[in-house]
Amino acid sequence: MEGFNEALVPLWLSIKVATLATLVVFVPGCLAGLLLSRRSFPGKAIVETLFELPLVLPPTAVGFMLLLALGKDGLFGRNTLPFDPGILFTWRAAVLASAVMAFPLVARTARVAFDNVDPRLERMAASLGFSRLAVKLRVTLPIAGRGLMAAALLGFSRALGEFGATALVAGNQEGKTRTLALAIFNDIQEGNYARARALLAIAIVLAYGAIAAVAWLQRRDRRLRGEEPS
Amino acid sequence: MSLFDIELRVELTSFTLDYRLRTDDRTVGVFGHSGAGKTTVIEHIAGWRRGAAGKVEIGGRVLLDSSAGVFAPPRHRGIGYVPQDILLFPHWTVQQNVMAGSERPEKGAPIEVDRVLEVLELGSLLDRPVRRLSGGERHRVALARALSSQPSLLLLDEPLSSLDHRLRRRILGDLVRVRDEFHVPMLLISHDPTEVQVLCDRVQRLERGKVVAEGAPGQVLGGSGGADFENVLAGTVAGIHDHTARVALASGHELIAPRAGVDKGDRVVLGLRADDVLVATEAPRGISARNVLPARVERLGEAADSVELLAVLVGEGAPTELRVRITEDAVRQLDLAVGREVTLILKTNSLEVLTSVARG
Repeated sequence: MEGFNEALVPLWLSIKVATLATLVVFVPGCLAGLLLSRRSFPGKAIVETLFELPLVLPPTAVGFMLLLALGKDGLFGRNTLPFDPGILFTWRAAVLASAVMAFPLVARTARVAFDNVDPRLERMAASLGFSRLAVKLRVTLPIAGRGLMAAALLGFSRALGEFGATALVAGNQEGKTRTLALAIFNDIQEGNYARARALLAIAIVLAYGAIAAVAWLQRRDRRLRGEEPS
Repeated sequence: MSLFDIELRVELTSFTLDYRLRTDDRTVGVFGHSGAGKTTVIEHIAGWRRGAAGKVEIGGRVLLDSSAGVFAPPRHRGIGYVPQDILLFPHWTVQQNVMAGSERPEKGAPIEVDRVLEVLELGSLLDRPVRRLSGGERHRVALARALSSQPSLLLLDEPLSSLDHRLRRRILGDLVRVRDEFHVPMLLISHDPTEVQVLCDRVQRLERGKVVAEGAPGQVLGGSGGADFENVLAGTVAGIHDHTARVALASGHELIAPRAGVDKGDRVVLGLRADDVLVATEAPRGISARNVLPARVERLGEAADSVELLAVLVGEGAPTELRVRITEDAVRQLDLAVGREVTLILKTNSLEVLTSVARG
């Protein structure tokens, strides 16, 4: 297929960036989901809104915020920190941007996963002598497990499609930071439609696979919780 | 110091729960209609809810003492709880569920898991995921899980409420066996008089958060229907003869009871009224009553216009108590006193089969 081999470079880069972004965002996202699901505290509504911001803000606005934070004099810039983080305009910046953009989706899906674990099951485990950590590790996490996998997959999908924030903080450097989404944009700009079509086909397959996997996990989860016959 | 020493005050939306229990009876039933505060009581004892004022002391262990700022977390309470919603861990098999509490730090009664599985007949289900269990099986697994954690107290919240009639009989039989076999103190919530009658030594009636009556099941549940028996005896049918069943009790004695559809090997629970027991100071001869049992007077207590006598059957097995009601005249004439050896006489038809569970 015409343009297919050339499409492999951005595809590989996208998978690498999205995978790393998912790894980076998964634990904080799950912890945020757990916090929102299980705790009530003053200012919870504000925290919830802050967590959701990247979902609603234009991706370029998020990218610009990252640019400001990582810039020379920013909160995480080389003049503020005792070292140069050296993130901007590298693939690491693409990972960071994708992670930030994926965070709300991961946190929100994880929260639903934890909401679906009956807190009375956790109390039962405690009554049977489980320590707090054991309750979380042996009861809460396994029962929320499929929901958390869905959260990771959705985060991965979101990271895969990331464009605006990545373009701003990582640039559009061929072979370095030009991910699938950026490559499609680039090819259309340059009139390289054959490759754009190949990339489009790949993107559709990836997206379909991810969504189907999430749907399957959620079905399995409902079955486990006895809401659907097995 | 009593086995149960509980005082709880909790402000609820429509009334104040003011619950007290101080007794050495090992099986206590809390009886009352829904909304009386029964589950609230049990979940404060389990430590699942906070905010109660008062004290919870079980067998000398202080689990809650609000004035001293003591609140033992649920994991250190050593309680086996079977809630109404059962709460099996959905991601585990039967075996994993049953074993869940076997490594808890605070242990009460030494209970062998193998014996629990045998008594509750769960051996063949061990590898099954719990989502593929029937309603009755789920109850048995929850009970096995609670027992295998070697609790010092078993809390049962409406253990039979969600089951159909056939399963109620089955699980009730299981509970009787659990009580007789493992000797774990039990606090049981129920709105079913038969259940309380069959299982409990002592009953409290709870209304809008207050204990309005307390005592032996026969006294408290009088008029509740199904609560006519002061004595409830569990046993196994050892043989059948025409219209009668020979029932072996845990004490080693055998009773001849009406057959009432039971078969050899069935476990049965028999009801017997205190008024239907005759007392003799010598073993009678040439008597039509089929049940003549040696016993010893354990206690003599005043009842309304008669004397309630607590007798223990003298045998080789576990001691079995029987409540007997006779007149003051009879007590005087027979010169009955605590410690006196007597013979109890029961007619076959004074025994009623309350519940039976087919073997296997």
